[in-house]
Amino acid sequence: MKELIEYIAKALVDNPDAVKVTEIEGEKTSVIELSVAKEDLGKVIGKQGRTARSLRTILSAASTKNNKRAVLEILE
Amino acid sequence: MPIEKEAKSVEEAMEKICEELGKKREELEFEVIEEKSRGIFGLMGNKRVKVRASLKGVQPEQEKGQGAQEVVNDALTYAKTVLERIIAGIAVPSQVEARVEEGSIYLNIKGDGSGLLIGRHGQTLDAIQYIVGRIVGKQLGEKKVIVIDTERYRERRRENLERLSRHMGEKAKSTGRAVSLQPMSASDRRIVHLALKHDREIETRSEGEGGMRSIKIIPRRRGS
Repeated sequence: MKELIEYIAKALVDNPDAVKVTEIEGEKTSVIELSVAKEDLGKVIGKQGRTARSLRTILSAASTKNNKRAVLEILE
Repeated sequence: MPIEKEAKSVEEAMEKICEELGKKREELEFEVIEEKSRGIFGLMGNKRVKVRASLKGVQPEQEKGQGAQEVVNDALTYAKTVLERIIAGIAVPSQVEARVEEGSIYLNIKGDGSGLLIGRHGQTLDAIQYIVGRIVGKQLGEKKVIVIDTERYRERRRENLERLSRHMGEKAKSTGRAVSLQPMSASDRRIVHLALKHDREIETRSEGEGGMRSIKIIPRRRGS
C-alpha cells in the first residue's frame, strides 16, 4: 500500500525526489504518512481536495483487499 | 469554423460552446488549448481554461494526421501502464484493454466480478480515473480525456441514471413540486440533463457548489 501511494505521489509532483512515504503499522489500522516538497502540496491535495480524496479512496480499496484499514495523512 | 471559449473549467467551456453553436457534444471535437491556474497551489478557483471546438469531420489542420495520432498512441500506452500499475497495487494484476475513440482514451479493466475496483457508487473507479488522468496529463503535458471502466459499470450507471431521471421527472410532474436529486458528479449530471431534455413539462437545473452540486427537477407551470 505504501508503494502504491508512493508511486502515485511521485507521478503527480514536480519534485519526485522529495516524496517520502512512511507506514506506521497498527494492530488493525495503519497510518500512511505522505510528505512532499512544499510547492507540491497542492498537487497531492488538488482542487477542493479532490486528489487527496481520490488517494484515500484508492487506499481504502487497497486496504479492503488486504483486510486492513489504512488512513492517509498528508504532512505539511 | 473553429470557435474558442474561455471558462473556469473544461466542462463549462464545452457547455458554452455547445450552447452557442446549438450543437450536441457528440457533433463537436474539443481541444484544450490553454490551461491557467493561479492562486495558491492551484487550490483557489482562479483557473481559466480555453477550449477550441470544431465540427467533427471538418478537420481544420490537415497536417495533424500522423503526428497527432502518435501523440494519442503514446498517451494510450502510458495511460494503460499507469492504470495497470495502480490496480496491481490495489488488487490483483488485471488485464486492461485500451482503445482510442474520437481522441478520447478508453481503458477497460477485465474485472474479477468483485466490484472492488468500482466501489460504492463507483467512487473507487472515479478516483482511479481521476488519478490516472492527472498523472497522464502531468507526465505528457497534455490533457486527454480518459475514461476507465470495468464490468460495464459506466454503461450500467447510465442506464440506471436514465431510469431514475424518468422516474423522478414523473414524480415532479404528478406532485407539481420540484424534486432534488442526490449530489452527483458532472458526468452523471450530464446524463440526467440529457435524459430529461426533451420533456417540456419539466426543466432541470444544477444547484450547489463543488462536490455538493446536485440536480433539481422543476415542473413547468402550465400556461406560463
